[in-house]
Amino acid sequence: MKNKNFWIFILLIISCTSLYSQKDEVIITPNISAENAYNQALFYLEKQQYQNAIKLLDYAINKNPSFVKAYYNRGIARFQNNDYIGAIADFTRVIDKEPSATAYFYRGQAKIAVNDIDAALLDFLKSAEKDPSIAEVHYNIGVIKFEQQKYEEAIKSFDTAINLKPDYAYAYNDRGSAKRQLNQLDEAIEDYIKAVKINPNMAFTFNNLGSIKKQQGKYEEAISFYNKAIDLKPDYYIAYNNRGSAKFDSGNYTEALADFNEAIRIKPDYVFAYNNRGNAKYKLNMYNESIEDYTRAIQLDANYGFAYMNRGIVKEQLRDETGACEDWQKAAELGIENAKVVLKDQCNK
Amino acid sequence: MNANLIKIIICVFLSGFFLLSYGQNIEFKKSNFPDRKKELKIAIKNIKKGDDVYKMGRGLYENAIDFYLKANSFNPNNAQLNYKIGFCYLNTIQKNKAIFYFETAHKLDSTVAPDIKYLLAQAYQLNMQFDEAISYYNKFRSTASPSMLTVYNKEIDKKINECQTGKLLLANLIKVFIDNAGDAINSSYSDHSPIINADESSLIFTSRRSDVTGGKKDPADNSYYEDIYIAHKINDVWGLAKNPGKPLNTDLHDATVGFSPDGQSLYIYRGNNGGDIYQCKLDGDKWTKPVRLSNNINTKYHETSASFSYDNKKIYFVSDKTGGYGGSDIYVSEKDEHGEWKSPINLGPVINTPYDEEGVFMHPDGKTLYFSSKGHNTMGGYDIFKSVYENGKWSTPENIGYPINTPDDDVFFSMSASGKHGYYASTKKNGYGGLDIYSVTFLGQPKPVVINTEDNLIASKTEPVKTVVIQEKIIPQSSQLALLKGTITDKKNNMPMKAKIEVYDVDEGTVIADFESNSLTGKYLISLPSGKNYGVTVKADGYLFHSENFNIPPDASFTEIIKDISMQPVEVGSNIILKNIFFDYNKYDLRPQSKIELENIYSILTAYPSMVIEISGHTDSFGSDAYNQTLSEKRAQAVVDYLINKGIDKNRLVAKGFGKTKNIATNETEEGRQLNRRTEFKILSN
Repeated sequence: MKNKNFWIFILLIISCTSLYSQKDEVIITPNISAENAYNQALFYLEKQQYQNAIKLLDYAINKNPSFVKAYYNRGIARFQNNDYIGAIADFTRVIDKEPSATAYFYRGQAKIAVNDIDAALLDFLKSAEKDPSIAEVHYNIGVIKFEQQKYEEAIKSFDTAINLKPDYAYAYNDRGSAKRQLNQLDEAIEDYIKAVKINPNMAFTFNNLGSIKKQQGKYEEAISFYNKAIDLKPDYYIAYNNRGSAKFDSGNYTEALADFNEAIRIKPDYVFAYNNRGNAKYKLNMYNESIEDYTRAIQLDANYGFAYMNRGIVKEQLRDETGACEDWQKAAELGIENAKVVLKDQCNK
Repeated sequence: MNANLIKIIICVFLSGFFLLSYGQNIEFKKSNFPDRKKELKIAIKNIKKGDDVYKMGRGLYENAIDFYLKANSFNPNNAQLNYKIGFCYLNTIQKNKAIFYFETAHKLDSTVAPDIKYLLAQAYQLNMQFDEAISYYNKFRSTASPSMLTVYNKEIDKKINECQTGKLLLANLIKVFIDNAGDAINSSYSDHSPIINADESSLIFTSRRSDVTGGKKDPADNSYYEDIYIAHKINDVWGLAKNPGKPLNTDLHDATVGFSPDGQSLYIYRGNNGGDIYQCKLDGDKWTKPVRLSNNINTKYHETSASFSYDNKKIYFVSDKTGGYGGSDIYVSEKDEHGEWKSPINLGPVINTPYDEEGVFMHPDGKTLYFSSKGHNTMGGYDIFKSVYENGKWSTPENIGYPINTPDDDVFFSMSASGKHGYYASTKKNGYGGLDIYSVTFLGQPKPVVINTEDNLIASKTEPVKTVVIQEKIIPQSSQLALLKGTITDKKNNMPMKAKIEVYDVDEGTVIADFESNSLTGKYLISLPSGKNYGVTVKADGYLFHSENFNIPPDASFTEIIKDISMQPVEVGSNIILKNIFFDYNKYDLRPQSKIELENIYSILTAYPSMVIEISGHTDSFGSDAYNQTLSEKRAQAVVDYLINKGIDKNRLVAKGFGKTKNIATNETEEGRQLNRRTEFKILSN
């Protein structure tokens, strides 16, 4: 019996040193060094088991509060584990002690995740200053500039990213989007095409190509690109919604309706698709059904001004002047400029 | 000899010729119907009867059709009979039926009549089958004899242009609701030429129903003579239209042409002297005897249509007198200082064309003219157009579009002051018979529904960037005017009363127009086009005047202001607020804009030489008590000083300042404060 207990004890020790518990949760060997824990954490980081990596790095930092590399790796683990505030704290410790381009880059990414965009940009710029050769840093600067609607500056950053990394498919895609915003449609198409040549599995780029063709009024080509996006990603509700809008714009309301139906089937809370399906039903003279769709869109997003605007238009068709004016009033309150004009023009408000 | 006359002669000749002679195909001959001689005889008799009725005039074409159809049921393969039926249908309101018979005639014998292709093209055009119409107009041109072409060539070009316009208008149809005005208005007879007053409370129109005055028919078309009918809206529903009888209507043709915006005056058309315009007024609930307008308006030519301007100072009318741009033209005349019409002016080539213009209607906004024309870009016959007078020029007339305009004649269109509703006559399915009156509800500018998509997706985002489609801009199009309406009553007994209403431009200091309220109902209605600061003074003998001020900014949309006015008798204690006395901010100098109001006070003091009055000044609650007190006293004194300077004995005038002690509204809002800042007039003794 004593022998049996001995072997059980040995097995327990082995299981501890192999770092696994029955629930895959790491059990830290008592009294191991900070460096040992840090090294074990790297193993879990590579295996993308971030909770375990964090646990070990907590231990290492606890043992050695000035362990900069541990802070850095815990920052990475926390970032991957969606703990952005924790990640920002860790990278800040790193930057305080040993500022590096990568620390600024990751803190910048974490700040984007918490929507602190201005601070993120400062980190990316600091990162580029410390090491101008990281393509991803320039790419992220480009993305922020894009979101700040500074499209020309965004294009410059994407250019740099592409120069540093010529097969950077994402940078081509996003540069295409920035060029589209500047109405450089042909150049945008070139970038999108380049992006899908590098990575033919980017459904969103085919979606973007579809949208730009739609903007050019080339509905058949647009639909063909949306088809490609849907082939790559059969549950791509955005592409269904957009393909529906291309069919709507080309006057094919019945087929548009089918696409909006599919978008809603895939994503039952997809507010845009309800609004658009309402539009298709309106065009098909299904006025009462279209009102139901706009109402559903409003239920999903009470601040959806366009749905109020559109519902008002259908109510006007149903000769419900009071209802129409009420909807336009609400749309105007939500900032829809056309609603303000119509209110003044037709509702004497 | 002009081209139209030649064309008419050719048509009459052709019609006569083909109605009285038979051609080929299966003719109505015994040899073609050896076993049906009796039926053949009846069929030939029916054709003869049809021809006889046809010859009696256009109004009886419909009756001729009945006989022709009986013959056609016996032998449907006679080209000439089919041609005749088609021709008759083309001249009735069932024009769409002409196509079948013309096509049949053309198939049986493509040379059945020289103008068969032209008439077929016309029938298609009237039925809005524009491509077929163009094709037949071209076929007609390529097969017509040179002599016919000299007459028709220009006409064919115009017709083809009309068809092209028709296609364009059909592809861009305007969003409107068209509603039959209902059985209170329409009858089984022809009801047409509707005109509404500014606030759509009264509708006046012409009808050829059986209860017309005299109950006789016009032998020219076998329909009852026209009479004028009037209907009023009660709780938003039209009450039964009534024939006002004599003196408005006579035993002959009496037709509506113009209705003043306040519903108190009418222009009517009577056929004497080649067609003249008359005016009558509503006195209480009775129409006065129509009075022929002066020779500056009426001539030996044909004056057919007229419209009031919003201020009754101008008349727009139609005449085919010589010296115009061709056919009937639209003219304008202004009243001189004695209220007489001046020599009229042709509205010029932007409005008038070499073709006929008709059915003029000036909107109460004082600048938008609606009229019908066979020229401009009509889609056939008369179409309704609108043009706006701005910066001294008429804008290029705009076809108001399908479905209001059609390839047939569309004449007489009147629009409510709000610009939301129009009225016109048309023949449509499910009508009450003949022409019916319809209301048109405009839905404003097209409002495209907004599609939302997610485009321009950024690769690194797990959540895509959300974008929205750019909106198309909507240009406001509502009328830019205010309708001021209400009832004027005697304050003592609350009874409606007749009063004179003067509207003046405060900044210019000029009287724009004067009106009267109805003596029976006390109702009044005034149209105030935007862009002016209006002073309104209501006056009646034995009463203190009442003043109002309405500043209507240039970009103001249509508004309806209901202002009931209670007139105060001239007696001790009566007081009024002087709404058109103006001072500069924080000052007590009278602004020049106050002149008319001051003159009104002066007039009443002159009319009542023993009257002693108090002029009081009031402020809002802003500022210190002492400051407000001084300001109000000085302002009251400024009014008194003006009157003393005009010669009024200073012992009859008391100036008082009340500061903010007698506020009549809240000081929390600008509107309230504005009401509090005022000057009052009170009778102390008389």
